[in-house]
Amino acid sequence: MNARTYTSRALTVFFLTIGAAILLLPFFWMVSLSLKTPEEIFSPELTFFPGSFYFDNYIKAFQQVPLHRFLLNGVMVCGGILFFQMMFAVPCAYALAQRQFAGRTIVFGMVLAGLLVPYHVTAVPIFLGLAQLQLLNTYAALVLPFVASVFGIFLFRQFMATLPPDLIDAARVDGLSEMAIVWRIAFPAAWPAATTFAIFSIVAHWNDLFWPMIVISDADLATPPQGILFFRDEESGSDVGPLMAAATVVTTPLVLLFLIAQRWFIQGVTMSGIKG
Amino acid sequence: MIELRNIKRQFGQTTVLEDISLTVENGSFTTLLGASGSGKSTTLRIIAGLDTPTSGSVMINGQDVTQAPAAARNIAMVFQSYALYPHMDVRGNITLPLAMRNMNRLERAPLLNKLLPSARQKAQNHQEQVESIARMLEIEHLLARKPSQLSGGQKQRVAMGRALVRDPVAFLLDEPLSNLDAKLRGQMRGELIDLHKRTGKTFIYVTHDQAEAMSMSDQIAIFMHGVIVQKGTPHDLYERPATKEVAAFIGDHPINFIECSVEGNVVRGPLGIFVLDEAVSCQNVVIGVRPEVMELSSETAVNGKVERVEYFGSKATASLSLSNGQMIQVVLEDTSTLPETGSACGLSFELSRAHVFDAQTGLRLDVKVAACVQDAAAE
Amino acid sequence: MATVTTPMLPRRVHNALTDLALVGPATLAMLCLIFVPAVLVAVLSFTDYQFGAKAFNWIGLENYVELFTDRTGKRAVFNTLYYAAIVIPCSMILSLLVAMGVHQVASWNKTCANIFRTSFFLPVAATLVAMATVWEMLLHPTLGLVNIVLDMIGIGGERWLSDRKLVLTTLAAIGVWETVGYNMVLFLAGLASIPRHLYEAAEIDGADRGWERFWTVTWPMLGPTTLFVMVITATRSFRVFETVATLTKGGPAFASDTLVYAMYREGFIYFKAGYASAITMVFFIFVFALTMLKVVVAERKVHYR
Repeated sequence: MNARTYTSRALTVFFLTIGAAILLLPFFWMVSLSLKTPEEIFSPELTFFPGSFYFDNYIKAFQQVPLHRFLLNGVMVCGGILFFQMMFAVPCAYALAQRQFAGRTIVFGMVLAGLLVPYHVTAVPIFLGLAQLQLLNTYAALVLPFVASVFGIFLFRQFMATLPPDLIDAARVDGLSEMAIVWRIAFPAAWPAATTFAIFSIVAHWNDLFWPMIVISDADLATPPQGILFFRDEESGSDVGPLMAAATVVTTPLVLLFLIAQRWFIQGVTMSGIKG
Repeated sequence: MIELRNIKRQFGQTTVLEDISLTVENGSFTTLLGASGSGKSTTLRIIAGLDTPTSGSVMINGQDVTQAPAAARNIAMVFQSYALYPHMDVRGNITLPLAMRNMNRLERAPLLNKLLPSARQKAQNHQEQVESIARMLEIEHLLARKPSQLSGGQKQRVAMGRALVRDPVAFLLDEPLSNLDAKLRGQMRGELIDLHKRTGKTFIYVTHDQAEAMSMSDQIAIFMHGVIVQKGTPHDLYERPATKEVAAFIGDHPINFIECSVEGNVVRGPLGIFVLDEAVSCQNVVIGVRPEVMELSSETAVNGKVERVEYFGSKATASLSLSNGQMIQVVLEDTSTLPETGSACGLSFELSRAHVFDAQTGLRLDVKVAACVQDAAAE
Repeated sequence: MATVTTPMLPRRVHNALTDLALVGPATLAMLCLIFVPAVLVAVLSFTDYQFGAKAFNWIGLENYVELFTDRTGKRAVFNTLYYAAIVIPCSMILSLLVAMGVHQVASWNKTCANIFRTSFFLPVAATLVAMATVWEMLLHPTLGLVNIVLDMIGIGGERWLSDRKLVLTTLAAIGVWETVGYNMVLFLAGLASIPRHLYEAAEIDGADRGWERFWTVTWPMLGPTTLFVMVITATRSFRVFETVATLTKGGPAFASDTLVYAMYREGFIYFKAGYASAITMVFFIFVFALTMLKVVVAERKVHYR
């Protein structure tokens, strides 16, 4: 290795490290603030690391707002959405990928067209509909609008189209009904697609603020991001430590999920330029 | 007994099967033989219930099952690509068809079924059956593996196991050996014959390889362009091919066709003048003579020149050119002395085993070559 | 033993029912949750309907006229475009640089490259609302880290989120922070698909300096990816909502009002469903045009290969 490549490598690593440091700074600062005492936070002296690990912020965060409630809501809503999305998308994707039927092109055309419609577009009419059904301020209002995931149908269809037709025929001969083939053969065989989709769905809905702000005003039903907003508005900036603790608590599950399932997530991003 | 009655299958404008009728006796080994695109695989899929005929009917043991889906017919099938479930281990692959047939919805439900005594009992039985099949196919040590960890031959055995484990009306095998290498194929062929003997079940076998068909079958149906051109025992097909095409398709060595003109019962051609036992009405005939019923002879007049000799150990083949330039192949049983390349030779054949076809239609003429009046060189 | 279970229904009917059971629910859901609402939004945008009102009037294009003549309406459109105009080039240039760096590191140390990739991608997975509150702390005029550091090096700090001239740029900077990782992953995929032998060929032809290689091979080969990333970044920029809702609520004095936030405010705070629908339609037309561009680009990309 000559001096020139060595210098260029060192420079690359140097600049990337600076970039990464800037990008990760908010994460570091969040955790750091969440562990600082109020005196440290409001002192004019700049300290990067907390003087001691001051966990009272976390205790306060759970006492001042029902943070556990927000987290539970987040889990319920994300779980519910994911469950129904799969229930709707997987059989449809299987039929689109492996069966011939009248109207297949129409349904697939609908899926492709649906990909062009961001969910903000349907907000007003769906809000009207939910109001008509008296479903505002319920879990249903948070889950129902998202059960038809065209992205999910598309992703599963693309994957299932690569399954050999012989495999499906073998299952038919082995006595499986079409519904059984969907859940016992096609779905498990499309596991990578399912993982990618699950991560996408969970990240999108755990982090979403737009829709919960529209349909939920009851603090008991608030999703985690909404909970953070409630918290901040209530404390009007005076209680930084607990707010940062709450932010840390809300962000951690997804960061962990991301670190564990990074491969599928990144694969999903690459595959799904289509979602945007 | 499985019966196909006047099956016709069209995909859009294309007719894939035209009036297929076939009877498969219980316990027989029937082969559907033909080149790719001849309709044999479509026929198998129709028997399995994976495809529906445009018209005609499928009968299983006297019952019309044309409208029944595959899952409702108790038929097992082995696919060319093996089609093992990639997400299940070998045990799971072999157990699945049992569970689907013998257990109800509740007993199959994951987790819940652990609580049902009936499900536990059945699952226990299934495991015993799976293990006995695995022992028979010598794949016991593979039960915990995933299909991706198996070799081609092992996948083949698992696919067989999945078919054998239940008690189906018939086994359908779609080119099951074509993805194996030559040595393994020979071995599996023998095992399939044994398996058929041992189980006594109906086997319906699809292949494009005539040697496989000849060596294993009780009955062969030859498919060409969507019709069955001939069905019968391997012996029938070899000794009495119904058309020129069948004669060319069957046999280890390509048959020699000799074009001749005919007047009444007198046939003239490059090999000489022959007399048929009966007069025929057409103007030209083709005489088909298999290389294995021909021999080089010093008694007849010289009418060929040896162009090439290939030696295989147990036998040899010689290619000769006739005076009109046509090439003729001869199988030499006696390999102790081989003819020299370039030497001139006489040719003779077993007259009774020659086949006579109408040159125009290619159909077999029901006549025999009775005698050789004059050989070519003496003319 | 019964060899065959007798079918109850003819095969065709049975198949049709199966297809219906498989496809029906999803199709119905798509109709009810996507297509019918999308049509309704278009219809509502021509009315003065208010949530809870008993009746409405057809008012033609009045909502659209208001949107493009009223000061706040114009601001929302302008702000959204301004925001996108900052985020798109900044995010793309930075993410391309990062992707090329990570790609280069990956050629000699996979682990190191993975650590960088994970670090840059982390903001994509993080809860934006939570991170926005952190940014609020970082950008606090007196206690925020950013201003303290700027003070230390002798540059006066700014009121990042309450200065009318600065606020949109600040939000855009956070937008860049949020999208760089996503775009980097797309660029990395693009870089990975460039065949090695092209670089070797370029080297033989004399392009052995880094920059020369970039202009002769990398940039032209990344063309389709770049267009693709641009459209995706633009689409995401047009949707900006979380940071606005968390940090500024469109203020101060509508200086950071954007289309989606305006739609939220008009529709769900002031309950002007008709007007909100018109804003939605404008937003939709922007996104739709971009997505169509993406489809065309994607088609071309397929043809190239």
